[in-house]
Amino acid sequence: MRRACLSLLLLFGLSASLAGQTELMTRAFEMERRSNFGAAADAYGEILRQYPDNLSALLGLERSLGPLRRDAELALPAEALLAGNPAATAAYSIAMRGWASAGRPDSVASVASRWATVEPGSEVPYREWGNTLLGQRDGNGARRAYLTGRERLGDPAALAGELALLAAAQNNWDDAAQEWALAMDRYPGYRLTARNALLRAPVAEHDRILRELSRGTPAARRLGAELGIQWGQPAEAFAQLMSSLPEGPPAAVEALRQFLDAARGAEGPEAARVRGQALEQLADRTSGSGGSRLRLEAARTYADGGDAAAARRMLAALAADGTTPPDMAAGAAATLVTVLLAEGQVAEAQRELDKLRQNLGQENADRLTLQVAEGWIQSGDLDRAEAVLASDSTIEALSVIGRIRLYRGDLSGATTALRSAGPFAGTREEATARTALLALIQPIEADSLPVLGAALFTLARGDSAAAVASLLQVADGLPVAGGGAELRLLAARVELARGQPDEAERLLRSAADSSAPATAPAAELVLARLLLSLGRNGEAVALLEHLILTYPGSASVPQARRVLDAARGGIPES
Amino acid sequence: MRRRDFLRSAGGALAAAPFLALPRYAAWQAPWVLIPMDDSQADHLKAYGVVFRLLERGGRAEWFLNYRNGAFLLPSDPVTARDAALAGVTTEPLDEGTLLGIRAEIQMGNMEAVPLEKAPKVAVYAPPNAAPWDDAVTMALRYAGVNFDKIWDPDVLAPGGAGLARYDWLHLHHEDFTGQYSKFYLTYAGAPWLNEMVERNTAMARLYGFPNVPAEKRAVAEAIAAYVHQGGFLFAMCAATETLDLALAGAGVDIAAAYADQTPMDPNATTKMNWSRALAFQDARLELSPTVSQFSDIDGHEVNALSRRQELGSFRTFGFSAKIDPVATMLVQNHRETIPDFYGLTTSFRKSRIKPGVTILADEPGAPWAKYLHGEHGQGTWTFYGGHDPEDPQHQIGDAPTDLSMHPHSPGYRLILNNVLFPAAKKKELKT
Repeated sequence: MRRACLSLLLLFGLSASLAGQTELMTRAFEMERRSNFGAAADAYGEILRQYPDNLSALLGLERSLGPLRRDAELALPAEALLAGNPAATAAYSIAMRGWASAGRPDSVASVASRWATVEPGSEVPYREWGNTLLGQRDGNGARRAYLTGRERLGDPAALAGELALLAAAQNNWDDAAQEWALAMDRYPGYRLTARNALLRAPVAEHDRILRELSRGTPAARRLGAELGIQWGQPAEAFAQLMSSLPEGPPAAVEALRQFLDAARGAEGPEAARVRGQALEQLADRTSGSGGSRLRLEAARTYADGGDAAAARRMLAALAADGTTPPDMAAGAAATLVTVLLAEGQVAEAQRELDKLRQNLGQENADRLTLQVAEGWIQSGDLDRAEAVLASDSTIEALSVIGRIRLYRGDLSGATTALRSAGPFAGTREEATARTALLALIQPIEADSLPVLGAALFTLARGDSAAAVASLLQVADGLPVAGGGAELRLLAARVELARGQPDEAERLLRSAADSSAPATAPAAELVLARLLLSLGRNGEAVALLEHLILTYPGSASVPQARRVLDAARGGIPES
Repeated sequence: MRRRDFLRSAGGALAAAPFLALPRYAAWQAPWVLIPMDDSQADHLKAYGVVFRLLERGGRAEWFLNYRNGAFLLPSDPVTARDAALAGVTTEPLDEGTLLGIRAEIQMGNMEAVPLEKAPKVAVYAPPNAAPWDDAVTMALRYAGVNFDKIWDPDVLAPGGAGLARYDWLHLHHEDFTGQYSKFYLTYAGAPWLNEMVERNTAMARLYGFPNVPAEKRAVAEAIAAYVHQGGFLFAMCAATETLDLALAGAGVDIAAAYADQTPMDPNATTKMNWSRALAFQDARLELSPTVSQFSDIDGHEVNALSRRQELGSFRTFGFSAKIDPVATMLVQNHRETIPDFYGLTTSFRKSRIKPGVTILADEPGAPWAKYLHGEHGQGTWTFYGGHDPEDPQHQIGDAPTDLSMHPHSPGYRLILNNVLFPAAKKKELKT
């Protein structure tokens, strides 16, 4: 009976105690919810004085003291809780943060040691120790904490991720690379973090980082390959990848996908060829329609990279594979047209296009038709180029037809077609080029001028030296304001592109003739830029001032003011 | 021109308006040119440069406060016409009759015509290696075409204040006068630009016989305060505003972290500050942590204290009585009253920390902070403008420089340029 009474009393006491704690916690939480952090902290503190083992109250206290910048007050209640319950691991990190805010790094270290005793072999106490010091922006202290953990755990790769991130944050890229190399095998999940962290390294550090990673395990070398492709070393990166590719197909496929993911933003033909190689490797390891799709993608990528032979090899493999789905076969054929055009085999490209036109969507068919027409223009056959576009009434086709007419010297027809194409056909650059052509022929009175067409056709086909000679010959036969100045300006731009500044300057000065007020300001602006590039700032400034004051209504004036500002140091050079 | 000079001539200042019609200009026949500063202006910022260069050539102008958002009246001389055309600044020819009408309008309304007589000699305080595009004022001066000299500690510490005495207007940008390298020492440890900053400042302290950088920077702050006291015009932005006052008020108190002077900051520094020595602020609580890139609770936005950072809003300039408060009116001339805010190491100034008697020129409505302050110190004046770059609101270290040709109407930059022309004005004493 006595025992039963005692048990009842104990039970009553316990439930009264729980009810009391619940009521206090509710009150404290309500104050915290109202952002009355001072009162909430007092309330949580009161609970912890009565019930030192209440972890929820300790967490509430931390939430309330943070906004008040009184985190130092956490240390003692956390220690009191740990004294009663050393297994309450959450309290260790709170105690650490409290001691750190109180400026007591030794006490932080002591808490970490006690925690490590409770959880032997775990990295967590040391990670929290270092992270707590990082929270105080004590990078060197954090590094010491992680290294202490590594030493005590007897594991040379322990906490490598943390040490690597810290080293990168401190711009210590040698250590960062070394630690990531260690971390790659131990913590494969860190791969993306490692890649992104090391991508921030300055250019001057790239080679050293890649060298460090190349000395590591295969996983570290693959990380180096992913960085190398993004740092403009595609061939070396691919070689690194292939030398470290895992043997098992699933792991190899995963590594290739990761490399391709990293290679996505890499620019330039060499990077495209390497992407093609990686896609081919992936295709070889992928069966069914997935493999066909990858092979097609590889073909396109090789074509983008200018490796027509490799592209054709991929397409031939697709054609030979009876399992290739029809839509993919059509895609392969379209890619083949592009490849053939790149190789200059226009007739064959047109035959391929005619064969598969019905299987292509309208948009793809139109795009390839334009490419074939451009191919004929490049090969010098304007008749066939025009014939290809005979049934095409798109604005993009009108734009090409306008150029064909211009190359024939039909200025009137060219003007009509180019105007009809309007400002929306093609890319922005193409639209700008079209407008420039219209501006070029606008001041010329004649409806037909075959010698000008021939000169422009020569230019379009890439013979810029001959084009300049022809353009100047035509210009000599035209009045200054009737196209002569405009043609000299074009010839000067070509000479600039050819790296002939002296000749360009002579032509620009002759184009900057005040009797051609539509052309002169544009010529003066180009000339001023040329003079600035040659370090002749005084002359350039005088010329720009002349332009602005003489042709105040010209569309070149806003640009001239910007160039003038930059020349005088008024704005940063763009 | 020193403040006492134009105070002396205050009585006659406004009566001097007809000076532009003196015989030396009468020969021009072509009457006047108005530079409008409302929305018809093609380049608000360069307009200040046109006026400044006219003053440099010995010409005179008038600033029509509150008339068409602070228009300028210039004599119609060919050099100015050429200058304005090159700069792309909108001008309007004025005949005598129209000008008379404008003067009558100014007379009747809350407007004033302030003569501008002499181009101030401008100095920008910046270390020799400072990038030209890292300071809003330098950018504004360069874009507008206002001549200035760059000066640094050797000029400021020259015996008897001789280095500064040569200038009418001094600008400070983001210098940390507490000598703690903007408290970036730990966050950016190892960064080459920080290493260079530390080396340069340490060498300067050693050269002038100071025990450490904080002591040397405090001496620089004292010299700058003395320059203002003797009649100089001071304009400060960003962290220079706050740290200048902290350095002045912290004389004899260790307010620098251990990395700067080898001794930890005095934990009771806040209570030991002597705010009577400061220009603008009082009773601020110092930031004790060496790792938080913040100096005190003067700044309302606390951009680098992530948990306490305040969002950017907009600030509004106050309207002043142009006839009674021409100085304050000059400083807020603008074509916009509400301007998007922008961060800096010091973005704004808590009103609770501003001394009584300081004129608040702009604040964020409803917020407990001000953005733009003005006050007097001895015979000179100072103006504080919070934030780093009005057209780069989230400015980060390493950001691309601002190209002001893309922001020719920037109202935030106009406030800076008002300060540059302000010392050129012959003006009455501030009454408020």
